[in-house]
Order: sequence, then structure tokens, then C-alpha cells
Amino acid sequence: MPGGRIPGFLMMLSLTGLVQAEPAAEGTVVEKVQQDPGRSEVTFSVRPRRDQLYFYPCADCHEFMDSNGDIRQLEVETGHPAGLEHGDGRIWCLSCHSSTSQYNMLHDLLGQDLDLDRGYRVCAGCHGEHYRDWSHGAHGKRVAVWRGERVLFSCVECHNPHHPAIAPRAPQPPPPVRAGLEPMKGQVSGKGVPWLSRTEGAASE
Amino acid sequence: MSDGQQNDPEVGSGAGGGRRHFLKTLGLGAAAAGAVAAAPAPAWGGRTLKDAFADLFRKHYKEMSPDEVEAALRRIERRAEARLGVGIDCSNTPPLEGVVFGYAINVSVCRGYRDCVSGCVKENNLGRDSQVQYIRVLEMEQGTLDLEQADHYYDPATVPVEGKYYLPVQCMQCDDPPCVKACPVEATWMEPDGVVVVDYDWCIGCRYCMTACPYWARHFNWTEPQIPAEEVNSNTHYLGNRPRPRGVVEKCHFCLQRTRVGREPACVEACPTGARVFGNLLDPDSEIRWILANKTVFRLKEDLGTEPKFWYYTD
Repeated sequence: MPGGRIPGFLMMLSLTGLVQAEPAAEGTVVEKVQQDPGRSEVTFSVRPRRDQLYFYPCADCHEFMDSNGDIRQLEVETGHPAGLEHGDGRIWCLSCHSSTSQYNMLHDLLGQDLDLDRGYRVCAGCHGEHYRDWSHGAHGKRVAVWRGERVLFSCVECHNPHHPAIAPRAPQPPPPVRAGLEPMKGQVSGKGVPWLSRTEGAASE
Repeated sequence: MSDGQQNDPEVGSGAGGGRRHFLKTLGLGAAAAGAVAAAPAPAWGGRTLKDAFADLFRKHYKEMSPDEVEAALRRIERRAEARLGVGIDCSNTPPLEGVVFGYAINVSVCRGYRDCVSGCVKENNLGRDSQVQYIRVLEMEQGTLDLEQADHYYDPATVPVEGKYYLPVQCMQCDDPPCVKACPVEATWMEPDGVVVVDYDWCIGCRYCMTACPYWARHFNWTEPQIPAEEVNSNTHYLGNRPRPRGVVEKCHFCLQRTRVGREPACVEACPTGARVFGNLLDPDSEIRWILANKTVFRLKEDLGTEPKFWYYTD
């Protein structure tokens, strides 16, 4: 519903006035964000990822195609996303991808074109609170060092923007049980407590 | 019966001929003084007689002169070479000025993969099958914080499991650490950067600190770790992940060999979800300070007053 969008949009507006971006030496983008009045600004750069994209530049194909904003299942055979499991049908390709650049760029809610490596600004349009946490280090991951230059993994390193939910996967093996004890598999369902006392064990039988 | 005993080279070699055979081999080894280098447990624990005496008569870590520390580091390297067959680099990087380390975990992001555990085991040269693991990930019922009902041994096909959340626990680096007070020989203390460390050569293995710790963060190594030579991490620190003798207590030390030169601890680097945040509590612009100031944080067993420097928060 539109009611869900308005706070994100307002957040976006409040951020844009305070953001400066400048290109850094190695293709990364350095952001300076001042989000809380009276506090020092946050500076970070983001690990670039655009050159790893298989289909980039998008205009190689899209300059020969008309853009079509209808929500539909795309007929593709190449691994290009066919649908969108994001936003429950409220958004579609052109909500984030810029058709004026033949899809080589993204655009934010104000229609400003952004490089693919600055895609986190597009995410921030709706997910403002996560963007705030991410830019300060409370969400997401920093590269390699705890001090010095802050290089962050961008949102799309973990969340595929076309289906952002992360699928469950197998865990690493459990720790070995201490010598002389047995794991109580099946005895106390869901509670692997190998040192249960006799009375507790009897109560659960 | 236990994995630990099967991995013990001494017990293993004694299993065929019995205890008498084992003692005989040891006696012969001592008599021949190094001529039987191929034996599984060489005389003097793989050291020269000179090194063994130097270890025996060494001083407490804090009382050693820089030259004596240097000599101790070289002895550790020589012993590791003899026992593990790998050259290691043992450093003694001092604490950084104006730094106190702190740690925070976002429990709403942790998905229970245990990648932190395997990252820690590799970084800190822990035995692959030993019972010593510095990090435990607890599987908890959503809506509860009952540590007694937590499952350490969860092993479903995929995680996260519906209705559960995951709470990683390791040494909380308490600012008022009860383990330090319990140690009768001062083999464990808090460093100026806030990390509680153990001098493994000074520890007598009494395990008082383990009973004093409310977080089950200290671990007694019953066996010498068994690590394939090619997997040994050669970047070590005297108070951190250097090879430990058997029969002492060890614990998480915030990867001193990495963090004192600015790198992230191995668990932070291994975590694929970014749930782990590490930083300097004295730096007002650090990530951890922003979390403490802006997120709702809690600590485990805060009522005990041990002042852990280890916080949990949610998105």
C-alpha cells in the first residue's frame, strides 16, 4: 500500500540534501553522510561490484529494445532475471533501473540516475532504517580491518535485489560432545543438553 | 569412547604394547638424548635439553625483559617446528595506545551457520576433532532467553529453523573478570586493550578459572591439537594463538595476532551475514560506539556485575 512507502520516501528526501559523493582512486565511491544533526558525518566507501556483473553493460542489448513497464513474466533463456520476488508486486524493473540510460544506470525515487555501484542509494529509498544502520556499521559487513578506511560490502553482496530473501543453508558440523558424555539425540527433543539430571530425564520420558 | 583419547599420540602408542611398553620407549628416548627423533612423543616434548631447561626456569611474562621475551618466542617457534613440522612466526605485538576492544553481535541477523566457529578453529590452530572450540552458537527458542534450554548441538539440514534464533557465545572479555581473580598463579590477566589473556606456559591447569567463568568461555585442552601440517596458521602471537602445551586452559583472545595490527578477528571475517561488529570502545566515531549509542543492546548475565565488553543487539 502507498501508506507503507511514504516514510521511506520522506527518509530519502531528508538524506539527499546531506549526501556528497566523490569518486575515489580505485573505482570505489566515497560517501559522506550526515544523518544526525550535531553529530560528525560518517565517511565510508563501498566495494565496487559492477565489473563482476555478467550482463553489464545492459545497453549492449537494451539499446535495441523498447522499454516496457508492464508487470509480466519475462521470456528469457540466458539467466537474466525473469521475474521479481521483491516488493510484493508494488515495484517492477523500472522502479530501480533507468530506461533513459538503456538500463546501464539505476535511478532513485527522485529520478536521479545512479551508477550500479551506488545501488545502495536506491535501496535506501525504501529501506531507510537499514540504510542508516548499514552506513554506521550496525548492519552489513566491513571489509578486512576494524580501523582505518571503512570499506563496506554493498547491499547486493548479500541480498540479490531480484529476490532479496536469503535461502536457508546447511550449518557447519556441531561441536564434539565432551568425553564420557553422549549427545541426547531423540531423548529430549530439541534440547541437546547432555548433562540432564536423572530426575529431569525421568520427567521427560 | 572419546575422540580425545584416540587423538592422543601417547595413549595411542601405548594401546598396543601397554603402559610398560610406552614407559620403556620413553626411557630409551631419554637415555639416547635425541637419537630417537622419530618417536611420536620425543624427549623433552620435542625441545633440546637447553630449551627445556630455559622453559623450566623462565620468569612470569610480565617480569621478562625484552630479550627474555624474544628468547621465549624463538623457543616456541623451534618447538612448533619440531612438533608440527611447520615453521611458524610467533610475535609479541604490544597493545595499541588508546584502544580498548569491544564486540557486538546482531542477533536478528545471525542465522546459525557456525562459519564463525570454523573460522576460529582454523585461525587459532585448534584441534580439528578436539573438544575445544572458543565459540559456541546456541539455538534458542524465539521469545526466550533461557540459556539452560539452549541447544549447542543443533544439526538440522538447513538453518535457520522456523521458530528459533541463534545466540553465539564466546569469551565476553569482562572488565571485572572473575577468572582472573580465581587464578592462583596469575597466569591470566587483562591486557591494557581490555583482552583477558592466558600465558599458557605459566598455567598450571588447575581449572579454577573455568569454574569462576559464568559464560563457559574457558576450555581445558586435554590433548595436543591434531592439525594437518598444511593447515597450520603460522601467524601467531605469544598471548594469542601460538601452539599451546597440553593440559592448560585456553580461551578466545579476540585474535590478538590480527587485531593488534588492525585486522578484524577471524570470526568477524568468517561471518557471512555481517552479524559481528568489532571495534575500539574509546573511539567515539567507531561502529561499536554508534551501536551502543543508537541500538537497544543487552549483555548476558549482566546482573553478575562482571561488566562484559560484549553486547548483543537487534535490527
